[in-house]
Amino acid sequence: MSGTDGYIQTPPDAGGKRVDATEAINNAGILVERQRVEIPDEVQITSEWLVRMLVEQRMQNLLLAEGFGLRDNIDGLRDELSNIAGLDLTVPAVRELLTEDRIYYVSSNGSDSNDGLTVNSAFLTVQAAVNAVSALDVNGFDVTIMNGIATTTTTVMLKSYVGQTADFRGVMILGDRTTPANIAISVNGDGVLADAVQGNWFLDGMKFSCTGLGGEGCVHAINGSTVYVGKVDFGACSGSHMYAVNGATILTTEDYAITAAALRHAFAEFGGALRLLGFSGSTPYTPMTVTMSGVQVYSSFIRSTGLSKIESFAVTYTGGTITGQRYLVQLNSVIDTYGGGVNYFPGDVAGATATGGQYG
Amino acid sequence: MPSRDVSDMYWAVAGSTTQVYSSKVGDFVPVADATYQAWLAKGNMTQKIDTEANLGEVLAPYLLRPTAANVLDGYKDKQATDITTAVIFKILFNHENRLRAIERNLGLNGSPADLTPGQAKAAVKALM
Repeated sequence: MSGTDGYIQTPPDAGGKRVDATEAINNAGILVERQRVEIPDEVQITSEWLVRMLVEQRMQNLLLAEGFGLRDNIDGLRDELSNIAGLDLTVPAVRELLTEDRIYYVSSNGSDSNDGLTVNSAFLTVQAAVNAVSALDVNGFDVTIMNGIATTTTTVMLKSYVGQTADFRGVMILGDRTTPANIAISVNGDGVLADAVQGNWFLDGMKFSCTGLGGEGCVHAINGSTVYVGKVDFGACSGSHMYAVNGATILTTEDYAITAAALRHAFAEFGGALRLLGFSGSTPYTPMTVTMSGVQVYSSFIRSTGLSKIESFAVTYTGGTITGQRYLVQLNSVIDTYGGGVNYFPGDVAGATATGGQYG
Repeated sequence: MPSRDVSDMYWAVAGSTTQVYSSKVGDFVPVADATYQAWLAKGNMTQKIDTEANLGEVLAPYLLRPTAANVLDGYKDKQATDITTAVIFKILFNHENRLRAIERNLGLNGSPADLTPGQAKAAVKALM
């Protein structure tokens, strides 16, 4: 038998001819329907290679056309043809397909070898829960990671997952919305990092602090990732509270607090975007308040550079004694306050535009 | 998305809850204004701003001239600032003062003192 060049040598009982492989399969009259495989009785499958071609081609077509939704049918097809030809046609495992919303639990009493699906089988680390999510096809359902760890001291690396079907849906890491400081992400480095992540992530009910040279962002999104920030508390940060870079987007969804300063509160560069507004996923947007406290010193509260955009609408920054430059926009970037005026952002030094930057 | 049509937006100035500024009208309207309420009903949101002068500064680049006096003052101030900080204006400003120096030396035209930047800006603002 030979099929590597797209042709097959048919079995002796079929004439022993060299024919086009695809044509041979089609001529065999083997029908693959959505629900089951029908093989007419008159067809005698005597070629192992023919069976393999059938499986590979038809299963691939099904996978491409239907995603993973026909797993049961694909399994049936594989089993049926395996029985006929005596072949091992096992296909690699595919993602678990959710059929309802899911909750993962993270607890100081947990273990990362648990499944995380109940309070009594919780994970020990947020990262383990994130890893579990990354193995899913969420199939349009929401996943919530209930973070019960008082202090997480290593960067939470968000990961891609499959199956997000709409904006403002996805996976949430949820701490304590009443007192976000009870659930701290306090890291010598980035707090939460989303690097080239596919699928929305929501962060809610946590306090972020990040220090050290690696602490570029309490929430650091890069390379096309999208992260939503809810009711959180931004603490001290050696970089930016929120840092979006290389086509990534960070959006705020509701009131939050800033209890300690960063070099910058929000920083977008190299095509990054920050949307500081009450983004609820629908119209109208909700006016929101950012409550600040204590003395906070910033290099620039908001900075946009390198073809980036930061927009803010109907946000009231209140409280605290805030010093430093209100904003800095450079290198053909935009800070759009929808007409909020030069004093829209807090600070005691006037904002500045340079090298094509625009503020409005 | 909030409306980004600056020619038809509303601002609440200094936390006012009784009136909003309409860029379409060019003046303040009461919050009960039917057109404003219809605009809100479309899902738009009112922006906030701290002072009338800063609102005028926002409107200036769009040439949305206000009628409200304090907003208009900020509008004209922004336009005057943009003009007087341009290099070409600074060259003209220096020429004006060189002429005035000649006038003083020759005792012409009342020997005018040098024009200050503030006076120059006020003169431009008056033209706006």
